[in-house]
Amino acid sequence: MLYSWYLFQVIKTRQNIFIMRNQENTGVLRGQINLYFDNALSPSEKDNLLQKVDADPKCNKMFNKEKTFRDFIKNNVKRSSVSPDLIQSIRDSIRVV
Amino acid sequence: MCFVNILNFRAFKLVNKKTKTKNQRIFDKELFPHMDALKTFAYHLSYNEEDANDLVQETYMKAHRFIDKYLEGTNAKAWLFKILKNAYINEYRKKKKRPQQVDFEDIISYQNSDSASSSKYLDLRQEIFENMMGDEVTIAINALPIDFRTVILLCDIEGFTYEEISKIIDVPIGTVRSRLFRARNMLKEKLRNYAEKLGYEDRRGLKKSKSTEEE
Repeated sequence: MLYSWYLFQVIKTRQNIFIMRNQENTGVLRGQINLYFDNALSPSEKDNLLQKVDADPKCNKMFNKEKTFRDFIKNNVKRSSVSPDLIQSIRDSIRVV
Repeated sequence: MCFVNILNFRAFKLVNKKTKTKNQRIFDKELFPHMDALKTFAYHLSYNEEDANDLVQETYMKAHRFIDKYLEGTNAKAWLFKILKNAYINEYRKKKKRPQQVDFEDIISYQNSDSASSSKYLDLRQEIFENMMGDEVTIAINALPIDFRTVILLCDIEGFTYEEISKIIDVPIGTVRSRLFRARNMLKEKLRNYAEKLGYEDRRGLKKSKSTEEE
């Protein structure tokens, strides 16, 4: 009885460790993907990540999701342009000053 | 004596002309090309066209005043963005034109812990973006507190590096990274809310429950 309880505890602990490591790895991977899209990885780190993305479907999915989000934000945010009048006004005021 | 004075005056005029030509060249080649990017940034900071135009104009006036401090061929865009950000803080935030402010004291502990940020990552399905119009992005970005909005605009829209952002907004790189992480999560949350309002359902939880029911 005591032995089976002991076995149960061991299995439970190992399961928890596995889950924690898995979460930790996912967190690290997400961090790497963010850094990749922020152009903050070194060339070798970029290569490593891209290899992982090619090899691991889970990683690939995460990578594509983040890419979609970044592209969506970049392509859909309202961009303003300066009117020719304002450009002229700025040029004139700089010349006068 | 009079002849020497005339010579000095001519030399001064020549130097002055050269400086003016150099400054004009810097403005034409390095500073003016960023006008639209500055306007976009100014628009998202101030929420309206008129204030954005004023901010852009003021930025160039200040750039002209302090042009001696700018080194030709260096990062003109970052320099201009820093001037604009400071101009916004001085002219607009002090007047409290915008009621929305964020108290960073409340989240300092969050910002400094990478472990906390990695565990609270918000995920979004790709299809959510496909069903959205572009306006939601602008609305969602404008709804972010100013400091989060700034990092999103500088990084995701203008493509500045962490180091450049850190210099523009005068905070450490670690803070830039954590603000970005939090800002993106807030943005994803806002976009998800918009998607739900549009009638889009988040089925991530449903799939699991359906499969268990079938079993």
